[in-house]
Amino acid sequence: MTTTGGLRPPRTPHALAQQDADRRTDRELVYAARDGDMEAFDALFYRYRDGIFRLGLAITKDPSAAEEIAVDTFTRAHRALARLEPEGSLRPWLYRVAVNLSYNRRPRKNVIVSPLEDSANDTLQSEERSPSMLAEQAEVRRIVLAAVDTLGPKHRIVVVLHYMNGLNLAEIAQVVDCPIGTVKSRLHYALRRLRTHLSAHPEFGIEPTALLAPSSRQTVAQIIEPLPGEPR
Amino acid sequence: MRSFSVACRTADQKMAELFTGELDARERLELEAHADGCVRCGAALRDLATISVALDRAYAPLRQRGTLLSPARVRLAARAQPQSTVPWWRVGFVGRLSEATLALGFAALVLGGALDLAVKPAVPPAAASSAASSTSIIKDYMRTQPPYEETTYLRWLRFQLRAIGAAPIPAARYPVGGQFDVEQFIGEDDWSSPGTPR
Repeated sequence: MTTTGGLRPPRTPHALAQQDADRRTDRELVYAARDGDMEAFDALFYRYRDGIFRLGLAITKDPSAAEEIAVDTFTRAHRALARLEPEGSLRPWLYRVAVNLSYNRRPRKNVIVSPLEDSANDTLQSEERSPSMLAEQAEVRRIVLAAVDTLGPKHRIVVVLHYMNGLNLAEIAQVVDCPIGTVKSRLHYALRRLRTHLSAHPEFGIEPTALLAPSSRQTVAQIIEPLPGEPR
Repeated sequence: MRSFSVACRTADQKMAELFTGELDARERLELEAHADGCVRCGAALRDLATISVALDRAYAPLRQRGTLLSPARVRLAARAQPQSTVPWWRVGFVGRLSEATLALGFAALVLGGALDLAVKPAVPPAAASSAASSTSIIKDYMRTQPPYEETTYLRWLRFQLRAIGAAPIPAARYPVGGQFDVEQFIGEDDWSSPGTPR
């Protein structure tokens, strides 16, 4: 059997239709799905499936719960197709539903929540790194994620949406339904809180915030140069 | 303690935008120039940059994760009827009717109890006595027993004699001197029943 296409997979009609659907905008896909085109809805699903799964995973830290959140989010989108009018991207609407579902979800009993680490994946991806370096990176990651968990929900979701899902301030504002200025101040507050938390860990090289507060002695020492012969 | 200057406050507000990449080149240069000259803002900018990079690296493995969810699950969930939050006994017209009936019955029970406490209905003496007599056989037994007090005993005795059809006791034969002599009644009539005096 000879392959004419090399490593490229054969282009079946379904794959072609899916690729064609992928080129359409969210608005076009929503209108097509409203008219009964299920492949358009599938294209929307494949487009945002992983992002919603990761968002649910970052909030709940439970992969199965994150999958259920993704299914519930798209189920709601399917039921709301008749009244969905996305201006541009459907992502803010979907993410807002996913965030609400994640926070309204009760943690399941008898489930050990993973600390959002995938050390096996790291090991496979970076074979050139030494085990001690990998362990150190995992420890740093654990500290950072634990510090993020100490934030309140409003500040944590801004951090997650920006640093994990890659949303900009305007998109975050649409997801959390508040002005951009509020998102900006929440992100700034979250970063300052993280700075305070992480200053206790010397591996980050962050000076304690208290030392940065300019005292009168520091100010005077900067302004007044010592006289010749005066000990510094 | 030194207060923030306007430039420090502006720089502080723009740091979040710097890390989200939403500062244009001119604003970024202004911010960096201010941070070079201000110890506090320089340290803050350096630390926040460190934290921003650490956050980016911490979430990097998560960004690689995906799911193999199929849209068929969504279709199945969308086709399934949403779970009704109304319990079965409240579904439909019959459920509503039974619910209203239960509510009315409960209200009538509460109101009836309140009215019963306030106004006692008039009960005929015979019905009351029959109702009372049917309550306890001990009460029935005690009711057939003669009373202890003498005057009451005589009344009871006259009533018993009248009930069995005997001749009434003459008034002259009532007890004299505060003592009731039972012996004068014994042997005159046989009125031992119902109720035997003790």
